[in-house]
Amino acid sequence: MTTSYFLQGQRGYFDCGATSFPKPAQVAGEISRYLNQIGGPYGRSFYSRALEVSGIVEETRSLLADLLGVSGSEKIIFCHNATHAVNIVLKGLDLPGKDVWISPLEHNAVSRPLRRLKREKKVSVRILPAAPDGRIQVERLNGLFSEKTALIVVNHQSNVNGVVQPIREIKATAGNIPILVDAAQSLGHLPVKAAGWGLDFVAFTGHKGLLGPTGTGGLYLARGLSPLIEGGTGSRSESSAMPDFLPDKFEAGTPNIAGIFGLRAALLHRPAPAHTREDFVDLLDGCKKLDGLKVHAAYSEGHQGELFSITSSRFDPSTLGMRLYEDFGIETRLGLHCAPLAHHHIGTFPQGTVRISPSIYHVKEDFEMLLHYLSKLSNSG
Amino acid sequence: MLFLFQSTHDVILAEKAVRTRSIPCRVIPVPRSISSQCGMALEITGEYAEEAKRLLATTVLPSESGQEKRFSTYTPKDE
Repeated sequence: MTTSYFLQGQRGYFDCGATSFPKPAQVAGEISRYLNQIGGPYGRSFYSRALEVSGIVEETRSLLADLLGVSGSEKIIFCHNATHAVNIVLKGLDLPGKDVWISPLEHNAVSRPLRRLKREKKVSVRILPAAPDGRIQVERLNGLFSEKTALIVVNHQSNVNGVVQPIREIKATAGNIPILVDAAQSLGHLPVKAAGWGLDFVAFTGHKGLLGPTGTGGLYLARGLSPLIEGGTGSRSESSAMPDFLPDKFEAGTPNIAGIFGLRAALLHRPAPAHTREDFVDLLDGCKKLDGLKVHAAYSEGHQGELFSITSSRFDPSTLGMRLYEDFGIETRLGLHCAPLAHHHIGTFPQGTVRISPSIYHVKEDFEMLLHYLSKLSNSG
Repeated sequence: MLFLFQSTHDVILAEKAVRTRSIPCRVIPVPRSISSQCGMALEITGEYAEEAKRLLATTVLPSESGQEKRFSTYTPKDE
């Protein structure tokens, strides 16, 4: 195995679409501070230890509300991850017998619960018109929706080819039809203006673009839903019914307090990107020029988020990914990325692709080194 | 005066807001004879109580139209 520049540190990690790494040092520090020094519950008690914990949880909620441009932080619900948040919406709306329109780049977080709703609740799932790269064609949405349309679901930034969807324009066309935006890949990288764009639901995770720990995430909601789970909230304890106010209605059970401490630290200590947009575009363009390599990305650079996929005419994705790792220490995600719909749409099903998703900490030289190694592979047999 | 809230979220927001304005307050368990609510109440005494009430009702925890009020107050008999 070659000892590469990448193997000397964390620079070879290009799998931030799965989970970001590294994190700001304060993330682990705050998790440790909670577990080793503070302890105590969220809510439920009046003593100062509990109040300190509750204050930090609520400060984190307020930071997330600010990030999403939302007034009223109670509209932010803490979840385990974006998948949890998506499930709250899909199973909390009155969807039986109705139509749900989705983008062709949806993740299994959306398509799997919808498959079950289709089978058990006669929900009809329809695909929004899109270009071959998966970007929704807003001009073709007029006249598409009917009174049976109960929800539109759009993955803001694809986790396969990085295509960014025109969320604001889609919502403007949809009018009063609720829209659920899956911001798992975009929040932290791109602006998401939940209130400003008139969005109804935004599902997000804490461990990708926000640089927080796994097991954190949330849901912004501007419309009513039934809760996914019920249980203790520390409020209205005399009643066997779930509270009907936010955030308690959707937060049964003790939250991931240690994770929320870490997420707050990530939000407060977010570093500036160590590379420029131009550096990333140079990497993308450099890959496009390599012989035997095909780049799967947005047609327009203006619609491109900061990840993309590649395939090779010489190697299948598994071999390409293994060679990148074993020869050069480059860590990527291979295969279908839990998004078979997207791979069907862009023509890479069933073999999938190799996904390149950089870190906010990568510098220009890291991109140049990655390009150099890809070049070596594309010229080898 | 005791301020009663429906959720931990609202207690924490209220406490932070009144402390920011240097209004003395104390978080105490809600006396069981009143209500359980979220289990915590804000105790604010004397001349500060009315100021806190106005602050919470207008800027910190305003109720949207048709919505249940987000806090209530209770004055113990000996106050």
